Amino acid sequence: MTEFSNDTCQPLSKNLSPIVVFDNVSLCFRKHSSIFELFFKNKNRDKNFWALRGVSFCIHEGETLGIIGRNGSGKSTLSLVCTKVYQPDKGEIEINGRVQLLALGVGFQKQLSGRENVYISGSLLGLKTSEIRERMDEIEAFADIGEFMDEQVRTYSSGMRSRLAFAIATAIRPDILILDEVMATGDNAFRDKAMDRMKNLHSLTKCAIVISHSPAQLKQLCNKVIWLEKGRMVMQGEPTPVLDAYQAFCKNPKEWMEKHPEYLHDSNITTSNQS
Amino acid sequence: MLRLSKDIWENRHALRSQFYVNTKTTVATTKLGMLWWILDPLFLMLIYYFVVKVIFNRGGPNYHLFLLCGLVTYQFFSRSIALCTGALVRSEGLIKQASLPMVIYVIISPLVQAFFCIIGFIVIMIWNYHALGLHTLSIVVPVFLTIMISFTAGLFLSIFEVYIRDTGKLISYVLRFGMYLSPVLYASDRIYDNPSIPEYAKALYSLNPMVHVITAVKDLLFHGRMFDPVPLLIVFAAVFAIMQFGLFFFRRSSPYVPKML
Repeated sequence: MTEFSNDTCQPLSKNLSPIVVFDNVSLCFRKHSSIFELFFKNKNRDKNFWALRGVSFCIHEGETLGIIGRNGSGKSTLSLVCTKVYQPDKGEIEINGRVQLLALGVGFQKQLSGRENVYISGSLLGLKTSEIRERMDEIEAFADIGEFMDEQVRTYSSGMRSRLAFAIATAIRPDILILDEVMATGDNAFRDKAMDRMKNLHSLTKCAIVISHSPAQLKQLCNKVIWLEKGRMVMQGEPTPVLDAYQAFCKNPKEWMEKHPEYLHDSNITTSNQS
Repeated sequence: MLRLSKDIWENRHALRSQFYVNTKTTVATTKLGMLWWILDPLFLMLIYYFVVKVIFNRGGPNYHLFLLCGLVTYQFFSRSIALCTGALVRSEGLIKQASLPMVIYVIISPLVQAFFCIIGFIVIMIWNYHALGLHTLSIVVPVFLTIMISFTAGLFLSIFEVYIRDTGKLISYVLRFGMYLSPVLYASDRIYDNPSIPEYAKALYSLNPMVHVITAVKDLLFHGRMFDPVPLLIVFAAVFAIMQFGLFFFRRSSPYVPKML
């Protein structure tokens, strides 16, 4: 287990270049905002809500980083900083490659057919029409919804919708892939199929970031994990020790904090039993 | 402007799919389907024709066509502005999931409304075929200008709407009032030739770009003659200049938008 430090940026193997670098990144949301903030500096920074505070990490080629943390810990915010949707208020980020947040059902229109939605969602995820056409058979095969492909999506069951959405989302080939709780949907058979697909997809990308509430899933997919709490990074390192510590913390945060006071200083962890 | 062209070109596939979604979903669940694209302006014409011609007994010969020219054009403009205003707020999910430049969400509405407007114009052309001629081809000029005007307004209004959610509500009233300040139900000569209206009011009236656009459409499709290009050239130059400022404002503001949604 490696405790967080700003200069910790060691690749798993030598000679691998960093693909994603977060250097002391902080991001805040304004509790009260005004259009004048576009032109003048915000003087009420103390009244802001800091969703990320001083987060630093590196992801090298071939690595899969897992992010775990309780609700509201800043996991999804961090993924949106990676995709450059959110601009950090402090710190620097360096992204070397095309990032794609694997989101299910992007731009889905329930009045249109599954096939039409493949084109719509695919184009929004950055695919050209010709690329979507080339991958249509692959998408159809994975979605496995048969004749429903040409029916309106509103007639689909939620499982069918998830399968189609997952098939489209994984048809893209970004350099950096971000998975934010995408495997929380569907039945067990679908999850197994999705997990295999993810492993295949991972081999085609430079690196991946997996956000999940499931330590078991992160242990299976990742070779490095960071644990976020209230926007701060508590630990980062190899999956097993970090995830074991996280699970122990979730069982009884108060007791865990008493046993590990060294983390209290940096993380400002709440001692409520919220999980 | 170069960056806008680059954004549009690089995201042409997404733009095309969003155009498809916005045109198809308006009628996807209706029985009459695409027929609504034609019925929509016709029903609107019937309502105003009933009010102006039947109840108030005003309007000249072929008033229904005169009305239709103005209504289709103004509807194109007002719907574009209203949709542009809410473009970013409405696209919150897409902004956070798809990595499209935000300006794409603003430009899509005027393009979709231009499509519906062109269908309306084709109906008028068939109905009033006597007015057809080579000059009819220049209908692309007022259509292009309306796209420019609404997109330029959208660059500001879409950002304002993110910060001040009352913007859309207010704009709907401004647009409704704007219809009576535009030559939709009457010819613009009624204002310019009216001695009881002071000169400064006439000057203010002429600042409304839709006065010139709607007059041009009526010249082409109703009177069957070429429009006066000078007012449209002035509108183009003014809107082009404001668009540069709008693009600057939009680019400066858009990084803060996702946090506000």
